Amino acid sequence: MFSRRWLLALKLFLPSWNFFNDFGAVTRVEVSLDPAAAEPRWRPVFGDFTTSDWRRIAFNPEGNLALQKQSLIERAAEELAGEQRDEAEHFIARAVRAKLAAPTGKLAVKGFRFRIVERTAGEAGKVRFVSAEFPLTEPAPCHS
Amino acid sequence: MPLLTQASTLAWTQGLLAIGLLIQTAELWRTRHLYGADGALAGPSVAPGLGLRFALTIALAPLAFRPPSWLAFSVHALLLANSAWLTIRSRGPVCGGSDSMWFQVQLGLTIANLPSVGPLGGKLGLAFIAAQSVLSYVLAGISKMRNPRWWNGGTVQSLFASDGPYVLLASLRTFAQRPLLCQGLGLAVMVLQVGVAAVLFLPAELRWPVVAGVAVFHLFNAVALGLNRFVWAWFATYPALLVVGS
Repeated sequence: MFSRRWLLALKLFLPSWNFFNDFGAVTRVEVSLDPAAAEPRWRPVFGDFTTSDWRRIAFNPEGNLALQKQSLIERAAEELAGEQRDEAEHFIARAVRAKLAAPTGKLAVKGFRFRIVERTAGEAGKVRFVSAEFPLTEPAPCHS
Repeated sequence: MPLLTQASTLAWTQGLLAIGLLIQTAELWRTRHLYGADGALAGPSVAPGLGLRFALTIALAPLAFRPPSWLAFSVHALLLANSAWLTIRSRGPVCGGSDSMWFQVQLGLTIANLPSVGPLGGKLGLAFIAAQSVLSYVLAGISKMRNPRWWNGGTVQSLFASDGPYVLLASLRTFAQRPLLCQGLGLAVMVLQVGVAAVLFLPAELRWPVVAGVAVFHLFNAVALGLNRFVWAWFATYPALLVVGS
């Protein structure tokens, strides 16, 4: 599904209004910038889910971008266990690379590894996937 | 402007759709780096597509009060195709539910502007939009009713205590420590959503409270969760909800 893009357009004609039924585990991406270490240190890549900005009721580009990225990450994470694993892994690596490079555009480390964690509020997360090591100085090959 | 004529209802629908699409397009323009060479959705530039989206949306304005024509139909059909392009280019909806509803509204307006079917096209288009709106609320409400965590406030508490994916308004996080409030909010959401079905049975002049209720729901979500696009996507269906079948 991740790579069958024409199906995405077809789904627009057949909406599912079955969303937001529950709110439990959230898929999070964590990154380690010392991927070769015996016990890598992990930190969230896409953070801060609190704001005080009321203006977003009118205009909310960054908030909607965060939601869009999260949706993409969640769909890619689902593909990590299937046939699209390589494409999904490289997609998430590209997203992480873009985030690590922002805002200066300079890349301070040479490589990274990411992992997918499912977190429920107040509980320790469950690690679902740990990636291979990716370099930061060149784009990851994409199978799409 | 009187609401309860077919032409003005279509014009209001079109106007609310246009406002929403302009806001969405401006937001996507601001964050187009996502689609750039180093972005997660690296690929062909989205600038031409977003520019076309902006131009087509603006083009809706002079067509608002004109009878259906091949020009109006073409603009709506092109906008529909542009929405499909955006979904494909983005590897999925850019904002889930709001994309889905906007597409349904666009589909309804495209039907309404078919020049060969006369006023029937307008009736069909508005009925389609109203049906999608009612379905969206009622199905979502019924689905929540099947989940005990909506009845006891657990889902709402989890939401206010969450660390993603929604960016929550800081001052509302304290709601997570108020279980009765969360339970009340959960019950209110279910009643509001399922209650939208009442518009199918109420005369037009009595539908306003129902529509006002769900409008407040969307405004709250925009403030609390940042779901501003949902406001415009569902507001665009309200003119049809208010008049269909009346």
